[in-house]
Amino acid sequence: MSNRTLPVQCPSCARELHVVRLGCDHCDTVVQGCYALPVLTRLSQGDRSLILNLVKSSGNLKDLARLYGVSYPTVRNRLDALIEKIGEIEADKAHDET
Amino acid sequence: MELPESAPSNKLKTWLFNPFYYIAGGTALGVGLAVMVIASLVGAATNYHFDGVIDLHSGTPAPAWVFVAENLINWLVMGVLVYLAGRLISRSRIRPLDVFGTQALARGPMAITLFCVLLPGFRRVTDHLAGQLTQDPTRFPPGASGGALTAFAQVSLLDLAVFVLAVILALLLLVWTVLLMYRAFAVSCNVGGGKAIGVFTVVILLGEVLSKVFIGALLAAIQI
Repeated sequence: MSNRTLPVQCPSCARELHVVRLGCDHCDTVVQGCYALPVLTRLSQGDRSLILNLVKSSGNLKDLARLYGVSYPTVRNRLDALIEKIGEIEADKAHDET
Repeated sequence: MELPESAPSNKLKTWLFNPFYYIAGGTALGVGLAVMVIASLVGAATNYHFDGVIDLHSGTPAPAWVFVAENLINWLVMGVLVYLAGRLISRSRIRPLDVFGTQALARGPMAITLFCVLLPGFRRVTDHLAGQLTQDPTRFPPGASGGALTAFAQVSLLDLAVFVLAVILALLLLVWTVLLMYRAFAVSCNVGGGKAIGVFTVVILLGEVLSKVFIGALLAAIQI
């Protein structure tokens, strides 16, 4: 499997993309349907690495700030922006479902 | 490792105008308080008072602790007002340690301002001007006469040049201090935009008035 970036937005109309086809490399089974992308996959690579490092730091913001060489409020503000972004994605998802 | 999608493009510029990206909390508080105390003690030795949130004036002699207390009042007033403003307009959690720490560090350029006004040329000019305005002949340089209008004509060109440069530098340092105070507010309370600038303007004006009131009360209490 190549290390390509998962596209999450339609290049034509900029709406959210959905998974319509999944395949098994082992037995060539193909599943077709309409599956929404999970919230985490819809975040940028930078956001995902931030979340990963937060988990690796056991959720300790002081350790996370030390890891990135920035101050505590800087990392907290960045996380607040990420929380807001996740909220918007979830709100969009809820809107699409209704 | 750099913080994703937040790393500054120019690190030197960030260190100069937004050091709070890198330093806040206890470290900022320790460095800021140390600089404040040293500046206050130098002020005590030369009779320069930090008599307001963004003030530095020549004044009457007083015990060294008064100069330190004045600076601490300025810092505490700004810290409390910024914290309250942050609680009012920010949706983030605010740590008082970050607010007070960053406000302490933001006062750093004020300490450098003190060294500008202590330049011998600047002091000679201001002393001479004060002498002229108060008609105190003991403060005139040798051979000079009284009269406020001739004050500038009786000081050397070099002293006048030092005076003008010191005034310009002091003004730039004042702008730098205010900018740092705003950045400290923005980072420690996670606020920005026009609303934050408006609230900060009110905070600094209110801080200036309150610090003057508290310092005035302190000086009146110890009869200075």
